[in-house]
Parts: sequence; C-alpha cells; structure tokens
Amino acid sequence: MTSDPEHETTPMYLIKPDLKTYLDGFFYAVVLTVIPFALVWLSDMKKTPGVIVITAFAVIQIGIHMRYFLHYSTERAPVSATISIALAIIAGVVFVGGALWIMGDLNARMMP
Amino acid sequence: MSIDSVPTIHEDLFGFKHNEPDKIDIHGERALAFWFYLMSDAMIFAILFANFGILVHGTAGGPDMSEILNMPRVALQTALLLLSSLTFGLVTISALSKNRNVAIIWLCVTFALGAGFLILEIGEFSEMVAEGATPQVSGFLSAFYVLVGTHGLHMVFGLGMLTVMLIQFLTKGLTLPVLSRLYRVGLFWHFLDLIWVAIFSYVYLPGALN
Repeated sequence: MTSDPEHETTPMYLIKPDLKTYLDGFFYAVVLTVIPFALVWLSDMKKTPGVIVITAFAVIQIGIHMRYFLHYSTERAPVSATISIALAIIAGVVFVGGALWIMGDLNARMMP
Repeated sequence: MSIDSVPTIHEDLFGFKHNEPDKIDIHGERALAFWFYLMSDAMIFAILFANFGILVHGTAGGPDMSEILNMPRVALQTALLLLSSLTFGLVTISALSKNRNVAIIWLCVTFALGAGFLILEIGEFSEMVAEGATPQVSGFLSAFYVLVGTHGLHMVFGLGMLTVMLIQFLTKGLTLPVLSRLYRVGLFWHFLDLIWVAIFSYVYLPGALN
C-alpha cells in the first residue's frame, strides 16, 4: 500500500487493516445486497433481465469483498496470487458457461 | 523483523520480498498456499454452480425454487453472514492491536453470527424434508442440497477454525504463529461470505422472479 521499506518486508498477516476499510466494505456490501433483494421482492421483473441485473450486482459485490475484506490488491498480494485468481476466473467461466451451453444445446435437440 | 541488521531485500520464487530467511517467510508462503487452496475451493463451487444451472429446471414434478424459497430467511442469513465478516475484521484489528480480550469478544460474536446462519440453514433443510422435498425427489433438489449444503459444511469447518483460534488466543496468546493462523482463518471466513453472495444471487433470488 505504501512504499516504505518496513511495510514491504512485513508479512501480510501482520499488516493491521484499517477499521475504515471494513466499514466501507460493509457499507458497500449492504447497499449491493439490499438493491437486488428489493428489486426481486418489490418489483415483478421478468426472469432474464432480472438475472442480468442480479449478476451485475453480484459481480460488483464479489469485487468489493475481495478488496475490502480479503484485502486483495496487486500491490500487496504476490503476483502468483493474482495469476491464481485469473486462472480461477477463466476456469470458472469455462466450467459454468461451457456446461450450460452444451447441456442447453443437448436439451434443445432432445425429442419432445 | 530485526531493526539492528540492515535488511537485504530479495524477492523469492513467489514474489514475496524477504529480508531474512526466518519463520516469517514460512508464514508468508503459507498465506500464499492458503490463497491457492481458496481458489481451488472456488473451482469446486464453480462446478456445483454449473451443476445447479443445468438441473434447475429438472424438477420432475416436484417443487421448484419459487416454492421452496423463503425470502425473509435468506435475507436474515445474508445479514448474519455479512455482519460476521465485519466482526471478523474487528477480531483481526483488535488482535493486531495486541488487544486480546477485545479480540476474544469479537471472535465469540463472529462465532454466534456464523452459528445463527447455520441454525437457519438446518431449519430450512429440515422444513423442506418435512414437506417431502428431499434430495432424491428431483435433479433440481439434489443440486440444491449439494450446492447449499457444501457451503454449509464449509461454515461448520469455519466455526471449528474459530473455536481453535479462541482456544489458542486463551492458551498461547497473540504470538506470531497464532496471528499467522488468524490471517488464514480470516481469509477463509471472508471467502465463505463471498461464496454466499453467489449463492443468494443465483440460487435464491432468481426463484422469486417471474
């Protein structure tokens, strides 16, 4: 986070996080949770646009959790941690997207 | 972290910067290895989400998501887990401030919130079983129980970790190995909250849409 040499040699588990980061993260997470819950609860949205909106909020909230709760930052975490996140995201997209694509396609080709 | 010796900082294979090859390196590497574990755990959940996405319409005449959905309970579970993430943050801050008693109090609060979440989940499952919505009814219900149940099982392990931290706070105090362990338990706990965000977004909330 800062560039003083003391900080760079301190292992991650001894760096005291700021209370403000947790409170900020909590505030953002509450906002990003309440909005999709309220949308689903109070409005009568259709399935497809609803899932798209929920996905947008979920992705942003997962980013907020990574940044404010797991304290992930490219400056603080080693580069191999960043690589592992990228790999996890790619593999996750392939697993979920690929499985839904192939199984949906097979389902569409099934005899009625 | 000795102050007298002039550190010669070098970067190791994993990108960690070291000044002395002592225990601190080990804990840094452990944190990184734990991070790799979390990413592989995320893969397990990715596969379970894919499984759920495929089977969500396979209700075989049984109940679908809108029929087993109890929105107030999901909202309460979400609130408990999010609050427990905040209180775990307070554990970390008070432990690194060398404030052991405050850290123990927040650790107990975190445990209570996590336990509350699990009690709600067990209540949900037992209610569903009582209504005949057991895993063997349909592919959808099997996928639902496996996905939500795997998260619940992680929560059980998380509560076990919190208990171990509580015992070590009391018996060993805030030593370097204990703080290192606390950091990794914190990663695990916040990670579970992150997975729950994906679960309420893809499993529960779409059930309330038309």
